[in-house]
Amino acid sequence: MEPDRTILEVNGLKVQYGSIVAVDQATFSMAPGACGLLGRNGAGKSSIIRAILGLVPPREGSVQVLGLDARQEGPLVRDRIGYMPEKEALFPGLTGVEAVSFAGRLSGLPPLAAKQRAHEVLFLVGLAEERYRPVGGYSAGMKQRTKLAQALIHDPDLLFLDEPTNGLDPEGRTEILGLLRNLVEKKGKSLLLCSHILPDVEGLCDNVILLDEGKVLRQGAIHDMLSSLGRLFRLRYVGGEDFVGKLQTQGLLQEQGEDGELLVRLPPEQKVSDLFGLASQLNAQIRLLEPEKKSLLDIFLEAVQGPRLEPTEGGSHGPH
Amino acid sequence: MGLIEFGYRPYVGERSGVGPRIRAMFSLQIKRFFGKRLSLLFYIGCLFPAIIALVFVYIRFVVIEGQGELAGLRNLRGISRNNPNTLFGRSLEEISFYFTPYLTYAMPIAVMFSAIVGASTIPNDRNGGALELYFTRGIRPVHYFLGKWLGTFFLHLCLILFPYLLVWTIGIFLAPNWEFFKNTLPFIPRLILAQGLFCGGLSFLVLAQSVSTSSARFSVMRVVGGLFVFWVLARMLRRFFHENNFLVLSPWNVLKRVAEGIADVTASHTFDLGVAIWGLVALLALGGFWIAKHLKATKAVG
Repeated sequence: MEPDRTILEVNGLKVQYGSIVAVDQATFSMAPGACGLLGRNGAGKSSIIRAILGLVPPREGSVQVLGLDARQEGPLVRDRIGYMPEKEALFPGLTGVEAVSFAGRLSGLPPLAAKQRAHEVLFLVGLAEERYRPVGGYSAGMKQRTKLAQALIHDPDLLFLDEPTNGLDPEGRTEILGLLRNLVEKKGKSLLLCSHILPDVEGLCDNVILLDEGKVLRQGAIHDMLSSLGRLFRLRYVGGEDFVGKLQTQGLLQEQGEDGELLVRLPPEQKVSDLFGLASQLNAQIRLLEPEKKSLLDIFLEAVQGPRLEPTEGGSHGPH
Repeated sequence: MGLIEFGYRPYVGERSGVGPRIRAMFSLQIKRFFGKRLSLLFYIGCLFPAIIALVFVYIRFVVIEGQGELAGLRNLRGISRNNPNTLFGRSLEEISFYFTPYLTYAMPIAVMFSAIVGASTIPNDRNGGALELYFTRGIRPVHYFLGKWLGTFFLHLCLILFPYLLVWTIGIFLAPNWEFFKNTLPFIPRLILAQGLFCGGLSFLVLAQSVSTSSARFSVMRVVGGLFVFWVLARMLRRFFHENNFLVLSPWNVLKRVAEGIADVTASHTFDLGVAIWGLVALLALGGFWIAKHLKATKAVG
């Protein structure tokens, strides 16, 4: 892997269907590795996928995939991308090995190579025993694995996976995630992962792109985003009438529970002792200060909903 | 189901162009049709008119002109000892013997076959999500349609043309001399061209109408119903207005008339070839428009 290289570059992308703007001035890039593409339903993920695959001409902007212009060289781009759709997408009436082999032939593999590689990828995704059975009779998990095999058969440089762990039991999910990690780390593949299962994205991807209403809200390394959120603490206190007001004024109060428990965010430059100092000044006694673990969900919610700050009505709401 | 790393390797070979990919789609369609016992039985059942033609060839060259073994066939109406070239009013040495069966009395068989092999293929792909797989690979919707059309076209030929070419070939070998071959050879290229156009046009129209639905059953019903309704309507209007050109309203008649023009077969109650050609152009344009409107990658992907 060459992390400095950009394999996907989207610049000022605007996709419009009639009067509806699906993607508006989206700009992001992706280095080799695994990257998550997150957004609510209707955020513009599908339109971005279509633009990357060269299936929809952008109204404005450009999309470069693996150094190719997706608009001009759509078929070439698609030959180098492995796409695993979210919906059930299998060639009807075929066995597993026939379906995967046919997918390979559609991607330009000669018949013999397609057949050989079909067996290999079906072994890889754990369908060795079932590969001669008709795909129509597969379980949901087996269909997911077949879709992944279809995406891998032609040795793509970039894999575009839409909800790859849908329908899998916990064991199967762990196996597939392990396989995907293996593809990234050992086989040098890059992944763009769309999933609503955020722990999957967090466990697999180093970077993430957050979309909402056709716009890129945030993008970057998940680690950096978590750091930028600052440290979060659950806090209980007694006394100190103005303590909550002061926390709010200083922008430290993140959330206030009905039971009086506070969620306080400390920016990287502030120390925990500053919190105790502030409490001391206002005659408040901190009774509980517990670090709160932040996850991708918090990044996502903050990006799409803004900071979860609920205004207080003054006075102390701490437990007495 | 344990995951086994079974030598997933980089692919270093050449990638093929569009042609082999279309060929893969074509061969898959043929394989899927002939690979199923039920569809094979259906196909054999649909060959009934061609089997009748083979019986005629047998009677003409083996029973009548062969050893004279007429036992059991003496009472068959139409077998003329004086004019053995004609059986039941049909001559093996005329193009109409090989050309007309599926376009006239066996039309329901041809329509049913066309609906089964052509009308369901794209809806099945759409319903199973396969359309998304096709369009996210290195092929365009036009290539996809071309692959499907070639498969459907070939299957139509397997019913409407190839069996009759086989009957003709068998006739050549059964005939006592080369007269039959010499008399029939001149019209064989016209037969191939005419049936090719008929099968190609029918395949195109059947597939084109199917691109807008994901229900194979609905698509089959639309083909059978549509062809039948327009065929009846055209005949009714022709009778009511005493104007043969009303027959152009039926796509079946249009294809048949143009094919008749190429085969140089004179049919009763026929209409202008020029009108039929314009009708065909209009149908193809309408089909093309329908395909462009409904077979879009953007609708299938994401």
